[in-house]
Amino acid sequence: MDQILSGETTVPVIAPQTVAQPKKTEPVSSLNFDAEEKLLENYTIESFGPQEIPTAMQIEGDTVDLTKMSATVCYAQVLDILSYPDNYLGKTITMGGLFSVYESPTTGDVYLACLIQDATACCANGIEFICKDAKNYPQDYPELGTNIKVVGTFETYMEDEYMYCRLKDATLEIVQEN
Amino acid sequence: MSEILDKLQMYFSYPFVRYALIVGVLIALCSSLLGVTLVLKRFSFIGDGLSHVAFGAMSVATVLGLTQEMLLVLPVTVISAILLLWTGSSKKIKGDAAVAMVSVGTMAIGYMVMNLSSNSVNVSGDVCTSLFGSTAILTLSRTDLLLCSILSGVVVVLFILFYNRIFSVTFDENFAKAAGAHTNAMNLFIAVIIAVIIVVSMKLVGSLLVSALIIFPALAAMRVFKSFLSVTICSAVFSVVCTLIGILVSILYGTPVGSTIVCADMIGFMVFFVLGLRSGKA
Repeated sequence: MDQILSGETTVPVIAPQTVAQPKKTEPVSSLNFDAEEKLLENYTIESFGPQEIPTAMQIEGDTVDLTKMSATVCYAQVLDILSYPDNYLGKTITMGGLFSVYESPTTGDVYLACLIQDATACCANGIEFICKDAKNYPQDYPELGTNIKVVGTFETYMEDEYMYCRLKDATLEIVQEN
Repeated sequence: MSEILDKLQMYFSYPFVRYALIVGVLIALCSSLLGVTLVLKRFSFIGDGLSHVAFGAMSVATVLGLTQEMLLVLPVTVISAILLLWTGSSKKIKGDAAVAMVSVGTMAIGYMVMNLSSNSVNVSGDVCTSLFGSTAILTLSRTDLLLCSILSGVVVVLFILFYNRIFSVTFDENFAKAAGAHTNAMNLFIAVIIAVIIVVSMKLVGSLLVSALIIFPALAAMRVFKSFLSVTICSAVFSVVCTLIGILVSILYGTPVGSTIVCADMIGFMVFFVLGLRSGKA
């Protein structure tokens, strides 16, 4: 969050969000395109950091299953999702990775994410998610670093002038390692 | 097999995979063309040296927050290439010593600058990606695609146009000079082209492995063919095929792209080496 406020990040990161009581604000990603366009007018490219304006690319299908991809493509796909979120709005995304939590030092809010590492495991990207069922952290969630599978609908939302990405109405499943 | 084909079909539906294949092939093509000249002129390690310079320049560009790093990386690398390759025999530090000095110096400066001043949340990851090109080729934007395509296209066209002069300067520079060829200008031209190729190739295999794209295709082709033209053509085909195999294997099996391409080059070289031994030309 600090990196976003100082304009240092190049991609959206997980953002402040109370876990037990998800926000009831209207999500940007609904079929209300007028509202979406109005909100998009209010954010500048600085929220993504030094990056070009994405060009429209049609992603076929309504689902994106990252669990069926190799580590190399999966990492690149997550980066594509975070770099060009407009192409994935409303799509159902299935992803598997490591359970991660970020706690804001300023507000104390906790944000949950699924992290995916690249082939060499030196880089990781992730997407925030909010579970469909109201859950409390840490009681209702696995330990940090646990392999999980998350399925949710991709959306973006605005907070403090910045745009963030997350999976809403997500289901969380712990993946048993063989 | 059908499972692999289905998976590939799924991957090809993603734009960033298609971009990676297009750019990968173009980079492989233009790096292999100049590789023959470099290997014959005993400048095989110049790729390593220049790629380290490019890494250093890229680090500075990142710290400065430049939107398009090429604006700094390309000129700095071109200037370094000119200094290393083109300056005359009167220079006090020559050949491999100059390359080594510039190589390690710029790499150290680059890493130091990244660590001390970087805005990145993951310096090690950024450095690793720049050095080894693990997924850089799969994260190209449309601008990167256009830029790499244009630069690669220019290199290929210039190589074809100046093929005869490159040939003469490669094999006997003194004779070419005596015959009236502008060898200094040709060497300058080759230095600039090599710098462009190195900068573009870093997207594919990273700084540390870029020499492989230059060396392996040329050496493999020389095991089997004798003439400059046949070695050049074979080198280009070899490089493109190995790069395609490397990218496809890496996306199918989740291996780092750069290393997989270099491994494919190595296996291809061994095959050509055996073929050369059998035909008695090694």
